[in-house]
Amino acid sequence: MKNLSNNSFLKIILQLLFLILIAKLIAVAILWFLPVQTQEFQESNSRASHYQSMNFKNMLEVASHKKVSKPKQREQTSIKNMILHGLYGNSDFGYAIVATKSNPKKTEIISIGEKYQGYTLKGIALNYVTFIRNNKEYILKLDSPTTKQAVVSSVSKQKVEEENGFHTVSRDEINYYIKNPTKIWKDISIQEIKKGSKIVGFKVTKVRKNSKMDTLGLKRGDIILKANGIALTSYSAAIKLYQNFKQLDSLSLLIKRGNEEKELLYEIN
Amino acid sequence: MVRVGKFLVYLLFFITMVLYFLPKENLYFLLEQELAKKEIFISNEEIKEKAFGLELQNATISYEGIEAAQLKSLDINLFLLYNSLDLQEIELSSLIANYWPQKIQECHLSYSILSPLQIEGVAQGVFGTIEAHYMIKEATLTVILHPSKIMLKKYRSTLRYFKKLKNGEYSYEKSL
Repeated sequence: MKNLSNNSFLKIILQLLFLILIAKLIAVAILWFLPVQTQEFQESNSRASHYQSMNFKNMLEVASHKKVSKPKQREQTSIKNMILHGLYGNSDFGYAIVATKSNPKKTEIISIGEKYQGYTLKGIALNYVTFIRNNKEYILKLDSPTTKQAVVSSVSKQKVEEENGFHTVSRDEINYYIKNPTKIWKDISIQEIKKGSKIVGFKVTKVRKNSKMDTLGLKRGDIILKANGIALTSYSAAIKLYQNFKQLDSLSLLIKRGNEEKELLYEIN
Repeated sequence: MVRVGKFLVYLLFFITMVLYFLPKENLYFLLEQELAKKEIFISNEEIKEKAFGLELQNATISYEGIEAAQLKSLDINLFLLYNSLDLQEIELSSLIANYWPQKIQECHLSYSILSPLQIEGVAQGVFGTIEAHYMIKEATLTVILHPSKIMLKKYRSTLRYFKKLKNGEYSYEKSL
């Protein structure tokens, strides 16, 4: 036994074992403070929840209330001095193209609930619209009595839609750009707009003529501020929107054109 | 002198043992937790603990909810005096395909006690070769790019962000 305890080799082994024990204890102590679970990327924290399918009808209604550019105050005109150039929609939602007889070329597009010359648009029928003012209802018929609904829906509808920033986009067009992301940047160029170091939107610097992008209502100089109500204040916000395009049924873009803010609405079929 | 030498050997042995017993997987979880605060996520990875490091395979990297890259393997080696990170076969998101070649064959990042104030990196891919230096104290990143023919031909617009050097290399500097 005496020989064993004096054995320097054994002594070294014991010392090393002691060090191993201390090292293990330190590792266990460190483990106590460390997380035990991995951090997985949660889809719900990301883009998926930001862009949900929307009821387009509701979106139109909200858009009509949210309209930023307020119409200028004018002198009120009698309903007899107003012309109805076109209409689109039904009793609950839609648009009317109206003008005054004194200036028939200066048309204005109003949606249900909006005021024109002191009259509030209440409803849309086949070939007339109803306005309300001081609890009294007024009917304004289409300017041409021969105009039929078919004409209204094929001609006026298109005009109203485009003038009011409403566009219908086919799913195939969306898929075309998703499959060919490089085509996007051939047809349109955008550049971030910064206020200090913060991105406040994306400016359209080029739209190629006669391209699919050209039909979507965006013009050179437009600044895209929001998409589906979400501020585009970073590249990631814009990319998330792009990545989520396949799941969208509709899209609203809040843009700044000149000094006016405008809402472009897209229905994806 | 012998005693000092003996002490150093014991110290080295002790440090080696601490590194060996360190819960590498949990340390990696801690790293993930810190990255998650910056909205960087490493997902779907298979984790293999090694004696002095960790190996991840088939990981997906997301940033701010966007899938940024997929990588085949990531090798982390911790030797205290010399630490390294080796990434193999990285495929960047198609979203950047217009600005930068998507495929990076390998990337090697290292930190050595011999140059304690900098992290060095080398990467090779379709773009050519990159040498990067990150100065810890100044928080500045310097990148030297030796562009490939594809990079020079197809990604000229991206090279505008770099400063062209006389020897055909391109440099980029940024304070982080």
